[in-house]
Amino acid sequence: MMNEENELTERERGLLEEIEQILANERGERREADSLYGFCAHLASTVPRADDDFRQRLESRLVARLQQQVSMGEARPPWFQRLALAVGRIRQALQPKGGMTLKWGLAFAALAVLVITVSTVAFVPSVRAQVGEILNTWFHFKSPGGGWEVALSGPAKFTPLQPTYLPDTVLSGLVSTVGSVTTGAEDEVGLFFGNPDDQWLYITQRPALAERALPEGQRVQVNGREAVLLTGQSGVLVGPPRPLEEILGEKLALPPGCLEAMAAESEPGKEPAPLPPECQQAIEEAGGIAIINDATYRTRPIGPPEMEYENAMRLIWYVGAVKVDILSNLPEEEMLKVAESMVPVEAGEGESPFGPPLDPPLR
Amino acid sequence: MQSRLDPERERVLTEEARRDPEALRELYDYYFPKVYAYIGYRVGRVQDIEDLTSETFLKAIEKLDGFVWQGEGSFPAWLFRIAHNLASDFYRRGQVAEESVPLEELPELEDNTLSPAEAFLRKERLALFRRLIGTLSRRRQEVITLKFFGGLHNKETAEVLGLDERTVASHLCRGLGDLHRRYVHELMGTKEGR
Repeated sequence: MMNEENELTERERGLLEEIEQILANERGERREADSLYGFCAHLASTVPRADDDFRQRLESRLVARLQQQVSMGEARPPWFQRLALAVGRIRQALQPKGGMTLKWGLAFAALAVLVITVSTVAFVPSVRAQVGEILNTWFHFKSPGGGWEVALSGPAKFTPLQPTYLPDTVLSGLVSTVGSVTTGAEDEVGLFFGNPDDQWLYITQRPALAERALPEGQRVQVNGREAVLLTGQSGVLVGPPRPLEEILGEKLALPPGCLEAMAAESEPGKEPAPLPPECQQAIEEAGGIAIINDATYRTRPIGPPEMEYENAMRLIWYVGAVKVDILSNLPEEEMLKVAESMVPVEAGEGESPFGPPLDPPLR
Repeated sequence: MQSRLDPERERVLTEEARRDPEALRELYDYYFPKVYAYIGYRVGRVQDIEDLTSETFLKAIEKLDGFVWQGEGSFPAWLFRIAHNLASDFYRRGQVAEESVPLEELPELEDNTLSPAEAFLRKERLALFRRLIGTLSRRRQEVITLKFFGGLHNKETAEVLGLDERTVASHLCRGLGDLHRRYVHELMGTKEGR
């Protein structure tokens, strides 16, 4: 909105043109600073310059960081790459329908009174663009111990499975997350159970390829189906849960209308509309936001969580059209028991009949 | 002053720099001096400038996957918004020294053809300009430093600050007018004091 105070005089317009010339002409024009134009030239002649050594050191650091990011991105489970970006959408996706369908991505569950976790959240335009890929398929995950249930909807092209049995050591663990992502051929659902510092399971599922190949390794049976058990696995798992308290900063007041605008732009089947600039700016200034129970929180800037594991086991097999891959530090016997307990989750098309996921227990 | 990157080239670089170090280097070579100069004017001390410049580029790399090209000027606006936010946080945390920064802690200046005496005088001028800019409203400080040291067009500055382009032009003209008056007043005071 323009007002009279912003109307420029003829002289000011001339000044603007002059400034452009000054800045385009190597800045160091020698004029007396008594005149406004001369003053601008003097001002433009005091440009701070970095030390070459610093410039080169930073360049090397940036290149190293980029290479690290690229290699981490390749090692990271695809669902996690999107997980962080879906978290903040939970509530807003729920809002317009008054129901539970998560349009895309992720839901959380707390195990009994234990801490729920999320990952970093950011709103970026490319993410909003991806939210357009929506299928109205819902899945309903339930805790084997009965402590939680989570509904998840999205464009997954298969019905995932979930364990109906988990050892007590895992059930009493810290956290549990459910996430999914679909990008072209990379449909994948990821489930993490347990405590990264104690016993844990990370289950990934994706559509089976036609050849249904299994890697070399110890052959075992899971409910009469051939499976492969790989022992002595070590590596880094990117994306295990982080306690909510680590992520959420203070409450944030977004400009009026932002929540509604965010909800509106995630309507299924519609091209996402750009957020109003004041909303975009507020979100970017916050560095990322999470919306939980109608309250908006600033997210703290933390890097993607990583979990190093050693001497873990992997169990891989096929159930119908689904390839299941469990990575865990549980004993072999318990791992097989979990694997044998896996059943397809309740699923359907259209609006989910289930209520929203449990509200995370904010402290 | 280095001419602007060709917009199409810049678009390609912002795509490729997500994985390709060479593309990253090219973007960095172009924007590093501007970001450094802008932050330099905002915070003053070399150590702080280096910290915030590093943080700006590291954050930019981290967030580059989320950057969406929206035409000419969208990348510098995005990059300088990061720098602006970091500098603003720095202010909010009260890390900007109220007292003027000693000359030896100020950065060197772009023109490296100056004699030591000229360079000293130029640095004194930098210190004076920094101090005078600091007397303007925060908005005008931002507009002037983004324009003169970040090298942004008014439209890009408007995007960084969330303002109307003409409001930016107005702040720029009036801010410079104020600054010039204060400068002249300062010089008169210095002369009268002799």
